[in-house]
Amino acid sequence: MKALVFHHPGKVSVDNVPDPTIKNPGDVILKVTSTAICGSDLHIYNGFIPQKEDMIVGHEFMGIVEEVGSGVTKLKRGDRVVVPFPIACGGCFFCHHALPGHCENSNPEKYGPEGGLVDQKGGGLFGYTDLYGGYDGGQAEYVRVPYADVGPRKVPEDFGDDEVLFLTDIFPTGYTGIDWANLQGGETVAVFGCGPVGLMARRRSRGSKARNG
Amino acid sequence: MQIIRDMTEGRGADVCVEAVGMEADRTFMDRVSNVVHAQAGSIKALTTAFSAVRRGGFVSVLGVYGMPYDNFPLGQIFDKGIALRCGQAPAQDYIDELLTWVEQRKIRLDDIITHRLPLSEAPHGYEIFSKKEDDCVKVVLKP
Repeated sequence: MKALVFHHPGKVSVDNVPDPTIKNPGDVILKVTSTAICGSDLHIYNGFIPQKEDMIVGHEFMGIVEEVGSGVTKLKRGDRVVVPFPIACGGCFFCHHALPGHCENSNPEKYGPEGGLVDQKGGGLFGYTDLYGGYDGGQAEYVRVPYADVGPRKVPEDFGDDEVLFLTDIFPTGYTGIDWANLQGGETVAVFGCGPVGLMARRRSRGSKARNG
Repeated sequence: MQIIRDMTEGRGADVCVEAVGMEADRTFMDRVSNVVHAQAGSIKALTTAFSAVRRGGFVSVLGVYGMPYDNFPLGQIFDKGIALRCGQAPAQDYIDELLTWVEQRKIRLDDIITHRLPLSEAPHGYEIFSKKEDDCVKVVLKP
């Protein structure tokens, strides 16, 4: 298949790479129909987050289920889904505490409580370096999605890809910045940065009772 | 900064959302500090939010930071009594409600897309997004 591969800072290319395969019973293989470049992908692209080996990038993606692992119960071949960017098992302490980005099982090599520079990081992420599990990302024709009963959500057929794609990351991320503040009504909210996440946070604050800042 | 204070009777915003991260354009002092402290990037966007937020206010940090930073303004945070929360979105926990908003057409998300490219043109997408060329805000790739 074709995929966007990071080689070294400033160098990405579309290469022919092996197709992904089911590795665990909870996996599905997704045929990617749309995928976006995230501002946080630029941190890898520009060398701010280190990655030595070649890697398929991308954590904002959606598509059609192509192949289903034997342990998956909620999805079947042909389902159209969006996939949240954290890879989370759904069963550990942090998954039970609404902190899927800190999943204790999805980044076995590099996970830990310390949050260090090059080790003891958080849970796994799609296409986000060996520090976060070394998973191949979704800027590709196909991608393996682990814990497929936990992350992917089916989307209604009458909505186009572009209308739901940003549920993968930037809309929940923008929403988070407002949700944490626990607005009561009438607050002034200032958003710094008018990239995709900032724009999503702004429309979320308008949807709440905050004064527009 | 003055605009935010003027809008808020001089106090500053109740809530500041930092959606930039470590790749803000660096000042001269950032460049010096990067070399001296073996750091990368800038906390300029974050310190701007600490100045703009009111005393006792809340700062959400969505922008990505990857390492320790010297001259972190802990004294200012203490003096102003700022509450700070940082990190990744718990996307799995929010997505069902947010999908409902999209289905009910309470919110539209696709109007920020400026470029739709085939996967084969992804390297060009990275280049224009990184350099903010061609009015690029958001690139969607179609494999």
